[in-house]
Amino acid sequence: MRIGLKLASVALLAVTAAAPAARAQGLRRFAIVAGNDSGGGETRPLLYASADARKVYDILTRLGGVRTEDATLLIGASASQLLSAVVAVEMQAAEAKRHGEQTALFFYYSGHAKDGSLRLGETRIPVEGLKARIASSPVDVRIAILDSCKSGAMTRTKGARRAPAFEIQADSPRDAKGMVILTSSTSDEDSQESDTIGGSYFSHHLASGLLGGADKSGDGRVTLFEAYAYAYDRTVADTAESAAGAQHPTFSYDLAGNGDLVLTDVAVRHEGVYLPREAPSGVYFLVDGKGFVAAEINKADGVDRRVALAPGHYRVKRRLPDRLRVGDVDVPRGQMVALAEGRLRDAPFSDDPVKGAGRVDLTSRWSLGAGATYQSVFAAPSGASLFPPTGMLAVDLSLRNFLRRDWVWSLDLAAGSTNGVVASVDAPFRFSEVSLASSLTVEWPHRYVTPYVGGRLAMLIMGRRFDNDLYPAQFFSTLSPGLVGGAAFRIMQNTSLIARGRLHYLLYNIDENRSLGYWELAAMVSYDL
Amino acid sequence: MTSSRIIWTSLLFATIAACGNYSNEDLEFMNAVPARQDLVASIKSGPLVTANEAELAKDTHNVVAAFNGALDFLKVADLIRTYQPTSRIPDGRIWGPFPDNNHPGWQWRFVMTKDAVTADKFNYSFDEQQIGGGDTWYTLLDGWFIATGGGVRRGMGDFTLQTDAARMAGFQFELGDDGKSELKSLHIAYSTADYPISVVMNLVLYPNAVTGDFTNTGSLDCTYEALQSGQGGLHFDATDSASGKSLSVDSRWLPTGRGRADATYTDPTNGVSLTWNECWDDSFMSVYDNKPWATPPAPVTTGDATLCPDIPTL
Repeated sequence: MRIGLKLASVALLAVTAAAPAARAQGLRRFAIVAGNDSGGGETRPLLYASADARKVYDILTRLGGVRTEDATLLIGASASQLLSAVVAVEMQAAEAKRHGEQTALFFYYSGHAKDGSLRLGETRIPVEGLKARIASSPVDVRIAILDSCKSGAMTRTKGARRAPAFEIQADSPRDAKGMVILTSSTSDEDSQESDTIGGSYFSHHLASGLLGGADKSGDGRVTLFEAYAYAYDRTVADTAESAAGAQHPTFSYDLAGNGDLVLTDVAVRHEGVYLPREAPSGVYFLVDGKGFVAAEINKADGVDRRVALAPGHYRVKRRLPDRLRVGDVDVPRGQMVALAEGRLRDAPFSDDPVKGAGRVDLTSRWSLGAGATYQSVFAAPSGASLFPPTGMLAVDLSLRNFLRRDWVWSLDLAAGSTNGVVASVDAPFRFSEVSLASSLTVEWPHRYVTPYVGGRLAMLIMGRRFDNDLYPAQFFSTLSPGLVGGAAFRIMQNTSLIARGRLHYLLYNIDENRSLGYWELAAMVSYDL
Repeated sequence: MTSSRIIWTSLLFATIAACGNYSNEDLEFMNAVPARQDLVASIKSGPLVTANEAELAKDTHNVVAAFNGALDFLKVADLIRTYQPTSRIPDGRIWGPFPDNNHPGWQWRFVMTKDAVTADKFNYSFDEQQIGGGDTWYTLLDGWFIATGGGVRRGMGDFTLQTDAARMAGFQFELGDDGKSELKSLHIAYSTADYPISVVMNLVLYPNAVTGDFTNTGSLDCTYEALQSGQGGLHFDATDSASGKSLSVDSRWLPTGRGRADATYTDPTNGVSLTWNECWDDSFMSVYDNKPWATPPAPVTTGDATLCPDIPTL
């Protein structure tokens, strides 16, 4: 199998070298990038399909010449939403063609597929129907990439062999001209995910290739063939020993008259990490600040590699038979940082930045918290005369990584009471408050501390009873939008202490319309369920 | 949906969602409604067997009872204070209209507004109208209150109850406890801003209303003052509008009940003016009595004048 693959790769390179690579200039590129972790009732949720889609979307808009207004990212979308997006892009593309522009459509899907259909949650799209739809889209070049189980069915019907499915289809009818299909596996293979790399093998290696790892020609541009060859090699190599067996990406090609396509230009931004020619060969893992493998670059001897990473801090790892070589590198905006071997140091395997304890758990999980809060209305004393500062007991229930990676959706309930006085009439009262709220926050998990910020919408129900029933009881309820921020400090495996602050808008409209606000501080204990 | 549309929709939703009766201003309005408990005269209760009670002490108790009875209509105000306003208008609140259960076919409302000129002054009126009467309301009571702070309902107030206009429109007033009289008007001026509190009352009755006589009137003027300790005083003048004869009584008492009264009788037909002094102990038993017009064989003077308490006027 490996021998056959190498021969096919050589044949492809010959074709690639002979054909002039298409340039981003003059080619209006559209992209539909979809990821859905859910495949409906008969499937287990995927962990990284949405994350893979985001990664591909980021690369295409950053390096792939796709303008953000021409790119559509669909996370957790249904079949109808996906088809609607196709229609919308087709209209855009048709308009561009009317203006004389040459157009290309890049379609990427990561998610479940079963029984000849893509599974988008509880909805389905027949693969054949989708393929026909894309094939008929009014664009010059169509590139479809499917990262899903048995996705090779999409190319098998075109005649590609099971494996190695690295073959250029040259016998296609004329109406299919201008279409390329890449799939993550053959029609009878599962596409596998990896917790170690935080994504599917195929999308991970495709992304690494697009970031520069696949630039075999060294010209700073990653072509379609280069990207596929890189993803194929690395995917097969990584999955060869897996329990599910080797996974073989497939490729169906019909770009008669167009030659190869440049997918990403890693030189144009001049931003990232540069592996110089003299750097040792091997597989370089570049791990981002959250512990995810941003790129996995297989560097050969005597060649250099540009890896177009986004600005940020990265840990670098290269594995040797008896130890690791690790180091840190900061990528400033607009700069390509050279990674000389001298920046790396020896480290034991236990300090592996990829598989170390710094890895973030991406599985969706619930946590339950309880604690105390203190709340005070701005615009005192008039505000405090209405709503006195109050201590409250609070519980909250949070769901992590469900909507998307590092997003936390929470429901919280708090109740408290205190004494107050309406000074103008010298009326003491007992104030009570109940709040029910939902918040959506983004967190940045680290080993011990996880800061987070987000928004919150609270339903406040406040009331007061006057001493000796001097006046009738009063109540007020309102919706209060606000901001929340804080940090979770991990003290045990599943337990964290949380320090949290909130700023909220409070519309008071009984006596008059008044825009009040309140702040809130809280200390909580949170337990991962 | 555009961002601006989302923001406006959210604000609209928040506005709709914001509801309740949580209002400090409502409290200020309710604070300005006169409370009967603040204005009633307070004196230690008299003995169960009143035969031995000092005569002017007994008169004082009777006038206090009449004084407090005249304030019974303020129970309506007390009722108003237990409810949130029905509607809020700019610088004002309205309670009602509500059906008047004691007067079928009629309904009432209570309107209170902030005075446009004087700070912390509230004007109010209690109106009745026949149900379906359109904009025609008969004001039974109108008054004002200036909050001075320092406690609940502390301030100065003034209100007048007038019955004639509503009576002419068919509103039925109840007869007094004597079964004969009806109220013509009641004017109260009071100050609860500080001690001593004071309540000045002018009560005008139709004494023979039961016979349909709404021309002859009788009046009672009372001034009540009290300290927080319970020491109090009541000055009242009763005049017979037919004869012109009058009795003016100045009664003062200590928290224990011990007190004294000085009554001046005036007959304008013969120019006679006599003063009667009487003092009593904690049990309201007379300890000194000097009644110039005592009828023999009753003595003009009994008891010991030195036993009279020295109670300064408030």
